[in-house]
Amino acid sequence: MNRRVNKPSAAQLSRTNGGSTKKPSNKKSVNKSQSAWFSSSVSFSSLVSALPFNAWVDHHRFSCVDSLKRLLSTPWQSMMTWLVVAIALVLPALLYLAFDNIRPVSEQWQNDTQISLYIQPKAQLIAIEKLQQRLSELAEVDTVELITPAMAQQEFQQYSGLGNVLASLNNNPLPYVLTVQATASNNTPEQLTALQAQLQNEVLVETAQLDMNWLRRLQEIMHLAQRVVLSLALLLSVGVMLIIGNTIRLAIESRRNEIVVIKMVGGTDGFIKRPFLYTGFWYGIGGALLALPILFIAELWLSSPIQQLAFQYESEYTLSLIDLNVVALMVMLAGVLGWLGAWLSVSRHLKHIEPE
Amino acid sequence: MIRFDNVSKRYSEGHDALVNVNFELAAGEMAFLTGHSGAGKSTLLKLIMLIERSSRGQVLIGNRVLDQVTRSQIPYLRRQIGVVFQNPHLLFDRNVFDNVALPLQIAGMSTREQGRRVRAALERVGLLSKENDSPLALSGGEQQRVGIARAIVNKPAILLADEPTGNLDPALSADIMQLFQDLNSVGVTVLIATHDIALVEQMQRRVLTLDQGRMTSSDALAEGAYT
Repeated sequence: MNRRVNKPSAAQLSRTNGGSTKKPSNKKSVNKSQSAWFSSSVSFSSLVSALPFNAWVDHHRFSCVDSLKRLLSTPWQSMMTWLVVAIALVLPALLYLAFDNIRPVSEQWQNDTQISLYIQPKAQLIAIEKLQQRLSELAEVDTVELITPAMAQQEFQQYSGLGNVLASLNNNPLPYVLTVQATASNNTPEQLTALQAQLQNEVLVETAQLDMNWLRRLQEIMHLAQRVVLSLALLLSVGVMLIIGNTIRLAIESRRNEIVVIKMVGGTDGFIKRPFLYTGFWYGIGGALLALPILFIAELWLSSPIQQLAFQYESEYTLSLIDLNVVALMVMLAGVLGWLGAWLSVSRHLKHIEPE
Repeated sequence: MIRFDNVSKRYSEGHDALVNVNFELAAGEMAFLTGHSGAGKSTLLKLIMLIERSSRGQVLIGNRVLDQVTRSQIPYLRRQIGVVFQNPHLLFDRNVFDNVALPLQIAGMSTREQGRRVRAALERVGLLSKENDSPLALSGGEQQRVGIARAIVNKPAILLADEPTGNLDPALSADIMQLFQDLNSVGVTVLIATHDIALVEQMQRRVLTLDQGRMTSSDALAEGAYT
């Protein structure tokens, strides 16, 4: 590479010129200090002049504000894009919300899982109480509760709707039951199964029952739901990116002339891209902000039937609103998606816009 | 300052725009580039701007071989070359001042320095009073002068012009030419492509003539060379 500096001084230049030039006759345009005009000694030797950091920050700030102003100057057009983005964001957010609400319930159910020991009908109460004492001292066991046939009958009458049938029987057919609650650290399906097997071996125990299957199924369903929400979120994120990318493509097209001029006078690709990247960013942020009220309305609308449902399951259950961290994350994520969509679009289309 | 060594340019569709062009323009020189439309004038200017690259031969700008300028370096090269077109390519969404300030914004100059330079450039083209106007409010000649102000605001070493007077009547054309001459007199190397032979004759400057891509004359000023 030829890195020789070529800096003609004003004096040299006037010498080169001297022969053929006649004095300029134009009155006003003659500069008082002619040599000052050409003071920028030109060097073609170094073609990378780093932008001063301040100027770089300034242009970011300018692009950021200017792109937002441009969007707000065509409110309806921008609103359409924001709405599309908002709808694409509300869908996975709503599913996430539903998932988030179901999860603690299922965890609670899982924590409630207990092993029911149906005691031999002929066992004596004293022996049963001794067993209860012994079992509650096991390391894996948290509590052991004794349910007498009378208590069981009462509960059964209350909740099953078969109370009258039971009452019509002469004697109580229900056995003593010990309900064993494992400690929190011994609560996995595998550990519970092992504990169940151990308890089954107790002489007094007729059956040790652990209803795991539905729990396992619930777990699988939760996993599946999680994946569905995630893949939907992923797909719609790509959708948001493409929507914004396409909108940016139109913006690029409408500013083609400006891009050509900027390229002509030495604007770098970064300089040209910047306002479009910020435009994409604002499309994302605006869409997310618009998604929030939609989400809130949906939450209100859903909360009443959910509470009704919870009531049916006798749980004190209220819908938890989407929390602020998630909101902040969603807004930022939407901004990033917009930025990425714009970046893809600009990188693709900028190459085709060259001065002619 | 500008040197062409056996430069040829063939477009991908097989059209030879330039064939073995040789010439050199010294720093501070002013010259006209003439020829019929389609003779290769615009192509020659595009090679200097690196809008196009030569197929064969070498173009040197200020001792720098343009073949070695990478794509990412092109903007920095263009910052040192002012260019004026038949259509001044002004941006109508901003006023005259901001149009002229664009190259300085791109270079990252401070706002204060921008103001100083823009006003100096506008004063030079005689439009200082119109800095706040929209370009739409200006006449064709004034628009062209804003275009020139934008081309020189960065104080480029080289000023290229492609049919700068193509849309203007003779009186305005003479004005514009005078402006180029003034710029040249303060050291800017000027190359003007035009087919306005009458104007070229008045100016008494060196003339480079292209005919179907070949340079038929590149002599330093010789009286009557273009009659």
